Amino acid sequence: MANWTDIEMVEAVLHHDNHTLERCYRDCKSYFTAHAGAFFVAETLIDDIFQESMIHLWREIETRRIELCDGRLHRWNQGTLQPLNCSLRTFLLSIAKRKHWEQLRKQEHEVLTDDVRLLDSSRYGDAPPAEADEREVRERVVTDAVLGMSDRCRQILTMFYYEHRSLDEILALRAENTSKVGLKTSKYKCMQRLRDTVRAEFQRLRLHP
Amino acid sequence: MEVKLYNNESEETMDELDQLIAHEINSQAQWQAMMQDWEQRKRRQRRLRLLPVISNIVSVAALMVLGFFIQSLMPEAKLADQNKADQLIPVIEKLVTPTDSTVIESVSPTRP
Repeated sequence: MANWTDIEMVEAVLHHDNHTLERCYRDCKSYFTAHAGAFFVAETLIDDIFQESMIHLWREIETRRIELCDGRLHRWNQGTLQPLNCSLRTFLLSIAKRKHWEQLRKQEHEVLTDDVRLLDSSRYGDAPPAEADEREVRERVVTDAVLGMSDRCRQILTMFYYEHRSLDEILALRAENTSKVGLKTSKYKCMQRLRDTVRAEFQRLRLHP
Repeated sequence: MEVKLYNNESEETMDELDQLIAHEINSQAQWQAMMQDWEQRKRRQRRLRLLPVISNIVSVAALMVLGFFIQSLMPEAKLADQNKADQLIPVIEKLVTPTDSTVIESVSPTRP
């Protein structure tokens, strides 16, 4: 039994209430650990998948893809706002299941790629969003594109943009890159793929890039 | 709109889309960092909870060792006392037995 409500969690995310968020995080982790065994084959992936899924969930709330409406949680799907028919914890498990399958597929094909996972265009609908919703839809498209990055791209771009490391520092920390030129090229390719993915979706929805 | 130098290392300028992407990367990295911080705090709290338990176990073990040590010394102490007593008994007997005064003066307790 959760000691918090879904609404409490949504409000904690929107108001940056870290104390409540930590409590929600620990509850979600206990729930996840208790139920993940039924879905996941590889136990070594559980912690990573849990954290990725939590980030995904929080970003959906921050970009208001999941929002509170008439005292109930709703979610934007295929361009329309629909009631969320499950708890956030169950939704978290569904995110995790998808990520788990993606991980297994990646391992199976042994593909080391800088590709960004293709966006599921059906999530944004076919019609251009209303002007008032444009900003939020743009953010969701970018959120999904960044969530779909390869681990390699995520590591390089996070070190560069979040940790503000120089290319020399990143080169020293990453054994996979052997030259600064190679690293610069990788960074450029990662960003370019993100731009292309996002721009393609923006064009389809007739949003300004 | 162009903004220069999002990262000091870079000479590139960032357009609005790049800014959006960099901002999203930052947001997700912040969540990641927060979760790692919570996990570390949980591990620290677990260690702190174990500390009194470990401390008690160590104290009890130390007391047991001390006890064994003291106990091991005791038989020798008893033996030493017993030897002294054995040596003193003849002397005392002679002292208390009425005899020629010259015999008493000539007797002296032997040292162990």
